[in-house]
Amino acid sequence: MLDPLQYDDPEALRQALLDVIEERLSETDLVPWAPREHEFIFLRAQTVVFDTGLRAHSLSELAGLIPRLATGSVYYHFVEARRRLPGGGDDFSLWIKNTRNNCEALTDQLTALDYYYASLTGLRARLAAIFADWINRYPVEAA
Amino acid sequence: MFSSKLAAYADVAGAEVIDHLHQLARSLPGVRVVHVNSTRVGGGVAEILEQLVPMKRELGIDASWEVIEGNAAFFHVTKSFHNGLQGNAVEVTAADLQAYEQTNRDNVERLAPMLKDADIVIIHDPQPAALLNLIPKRRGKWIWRCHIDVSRPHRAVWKYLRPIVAPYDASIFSLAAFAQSLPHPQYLIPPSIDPLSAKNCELAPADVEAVREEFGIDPAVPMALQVSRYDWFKDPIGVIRACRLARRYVPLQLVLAGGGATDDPESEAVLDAVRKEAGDDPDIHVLVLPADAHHTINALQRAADIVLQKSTREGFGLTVTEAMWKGKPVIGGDTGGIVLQVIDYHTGFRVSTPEGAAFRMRYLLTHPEQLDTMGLKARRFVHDHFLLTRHLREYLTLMVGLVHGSEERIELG
Repeated sequence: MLDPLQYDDPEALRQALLDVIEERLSETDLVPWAPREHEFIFLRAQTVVFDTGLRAHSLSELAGLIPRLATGSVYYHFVEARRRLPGGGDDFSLWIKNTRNNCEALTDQLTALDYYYASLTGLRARLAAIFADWINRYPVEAA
Repeated sequence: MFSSKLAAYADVAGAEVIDHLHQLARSLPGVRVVHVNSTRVGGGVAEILEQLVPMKRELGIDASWEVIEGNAAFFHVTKSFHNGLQGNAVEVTAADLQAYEQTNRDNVERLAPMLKDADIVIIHDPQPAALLNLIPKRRGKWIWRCHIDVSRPHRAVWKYLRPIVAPYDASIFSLAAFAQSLPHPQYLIPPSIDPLSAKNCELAPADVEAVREEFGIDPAVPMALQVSRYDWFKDPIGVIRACRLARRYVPLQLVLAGGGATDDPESEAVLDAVRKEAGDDPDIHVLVLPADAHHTINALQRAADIVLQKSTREGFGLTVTEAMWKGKPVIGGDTGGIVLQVIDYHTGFRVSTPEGAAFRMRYLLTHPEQLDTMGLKARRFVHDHFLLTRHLREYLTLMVGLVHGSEERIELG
């Protein structure tokens, strides 16, 4: 089994996946078949980045924006960022680490959020809840 | 600031969605786009173009829509192509192919001046596909937009059509499963519905009631509905059988609502078979509606308790999207674009047999709380994935992508 979360670099994940497929294929004389409409399909994507016009200058401002983010923004900053940023991670955690002290508890919660088990709408709701909870507990740091 | 039409879409889809469209359109200054298909009315393609083209114009893009003209022989062979691409073993004669090619030649004189100077030409389905080879001095990028389920095309038909579509600069399919071996980039863009159109806008309860009365639909008896052209691939006979099976356990009436499109000569034969199967059953309503009966279809979908789309092949299934937008769970055939929309146990159920459809109807009608929950999820799913604004954004993104070549990341704004 491959756990995608264990790979910071999607290229490394892709290579590992290809190794598994090649290994299985080399073990058999007959190429396995897939039922109609259940084939495994490799896709390629071009990413188009929009300016949302939204700007946050503090944690409380960011917390206020999260529930209003388009799902595409959630994907870009929280999922796609793992491929884009050197060393992985998400944009929110990176921004918090670079601009705030004493927020490890918050970034730890963001890091622990398993985005594979939520729709983007669900992920947005969970992010919003984490930020809201943190700001309620630490209003001074959030300002 | 948005114009009033775009502002209306912003109310439904969100202001940021409209802002994205403007950002994309601004990166395509002066681009001239022409869409070409084979019918102005009837069927999902015409309905989409009717909305998409004016939206592009509102965004400042010089977009237009042309329709090729053909005779009965042409539409007979293109219907055979359609059936063949969806996997039926059809026979296409040399005379059929000659009618196809001649019709495309007949349309070249009228369309060539516009098409050869366009920056982007989008040819919809096989009917006008041969135009590309007939217009050698073309300036822009030509894209073949295939709306059909071509996951397993009949070999003879694909063998003929592939060399016709291969020279295009790109092609668009609704699903990954439909993509074919072609020597150009293939884009995946599912179609969409227009939430503000007569077919999808909100209706007053009195409007829904009036349509019930018009067709003698009993408001006290649960209603299942299938809206689709009378086409074998939509399996209307299977739907009637499913409802008869379900009716042994739960009260139920069925409404089959459809019509023909000008490019579908087969619908009369299917309609005859449906009427024969329905017989004089008072709880089965077989309706033949004109192509512009959008308000009536809207009302029927809102009146329904359950919507079926028991297709055995389906390009996408916009009637599924329409029903889900109205908060109805859909029992759909496990095929084509229905798979993208109907998520088992969440937005409806996917089935492969009349027995399966009957079982799921019984379940939903005896679990009204599930019916409501799944209906809400269905509407939200369409809001997030299948509205016209998302569709337009992807067309514009494709154009931007063509301009930027194979760049992996394109930054706007």
